[in-house]
Amino acid sequence: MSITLDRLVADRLTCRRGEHLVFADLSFELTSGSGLALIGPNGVGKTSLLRILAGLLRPCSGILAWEPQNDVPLAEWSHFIGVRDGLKDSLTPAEHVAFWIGLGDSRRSPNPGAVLEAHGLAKLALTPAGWLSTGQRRRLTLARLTATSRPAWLLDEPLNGLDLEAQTTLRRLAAAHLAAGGLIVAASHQPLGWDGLATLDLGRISGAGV
Amino acid sequence: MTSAFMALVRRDLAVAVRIGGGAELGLIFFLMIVAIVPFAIGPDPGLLSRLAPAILWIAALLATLLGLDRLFQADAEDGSLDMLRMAHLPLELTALAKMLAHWLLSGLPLALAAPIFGTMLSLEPAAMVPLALTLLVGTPALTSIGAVGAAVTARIRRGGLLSSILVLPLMLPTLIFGVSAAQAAIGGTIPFRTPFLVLCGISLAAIVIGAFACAAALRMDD
Repeated sequence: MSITLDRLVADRLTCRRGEHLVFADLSFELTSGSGLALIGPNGVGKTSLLRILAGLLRPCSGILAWEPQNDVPLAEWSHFIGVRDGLKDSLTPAEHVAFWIGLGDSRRSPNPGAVLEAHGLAKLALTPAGWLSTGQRRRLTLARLTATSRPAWLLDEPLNGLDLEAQTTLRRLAAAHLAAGGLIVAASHQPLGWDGLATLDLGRISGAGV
Repeated sequence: MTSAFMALVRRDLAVAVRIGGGAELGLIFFLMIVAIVPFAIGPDPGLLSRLAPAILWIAALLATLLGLDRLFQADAEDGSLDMLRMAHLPLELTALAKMLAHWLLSGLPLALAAPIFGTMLSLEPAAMVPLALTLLVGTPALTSIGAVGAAVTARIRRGGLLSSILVLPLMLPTLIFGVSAAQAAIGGTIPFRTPFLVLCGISLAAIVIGAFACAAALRMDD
């Protein structure tokens, strides 16, 4: 990994959606090579927290700080893999991967074929994404993590639709990412079973102001 | 940064061409308007010839609006807008790349086809090149202004109508100067250059303001 994020600090983050208080005074700290598994019932703010970390949503109050501190916004440090997969039905997996590589930082560009191979999509490289199954689409979405290297991975229900083989692949990639000094924040209802992830139960602090 | 810009232009072109809503849709719509007008106002060549630049410009404006509302909405719906907002490329350039891809598939074919379609309206031969020029210079303004409406309504379901209503008044200066430049080429008291240069100015301003306005609209939290 060319760049690493040494530290990510969330200080008393509060999130409101409309009139509704989603969570208040949420603080945590992540250092290079560590991760956080977000758990808690529906509507407790797991996705909102991920979107705040991704720079897509502004917190109502609270501070998000990261080191090394420079001009690069947090959004450009991280990959956000949300529930909506961001795939175009008419484009093939090979075209998607080539687009992500092209859109990313071009200092280090992996081979598109190798990215597809790593996610078990080599045989489907030329099949339009609209023809892929749910799990195959999910694999393709996750291939974005390999196509361009970014230090923070923000994953929203990463295991959705994945078969056991793909789950193993993802666990291996996550372990390699953490070992290389990356950060992971993942929200999941299924236990992830990944090493090196602390658990943050949003259900217990939501609105309680811990 | 150039490679990221081009990657996005290429993707948008590929998606538009595959879906089939690319160049041909706008062109056929344009042709439909041009084809029915002589039936509505009668086959008087003199009258048609006088109205031709205005009709071609109105047709081009409506054809540009067609499909423009999906410019950002499709990306907002499938989640790729999140990815574009987090990309290395500044959001202003992202918007510019999407506007360029849209123009290549709508404005450019319209400008090139307008002189040929103009023969159906007995457009004077002398006016063909100036008309194509005004459309070539004016359609980027239409795309840019329309893109702002598309960005503002990106997260609204069925925002297409709202977007058209929002941007149509803003497109009027482009239409006025585009038509007056095309008409000045056939005859009249003002030289072609005067309204044409104003049209160029409107277009340049619209591209720059449009890119920043789109980015500002897309940055609004969902």
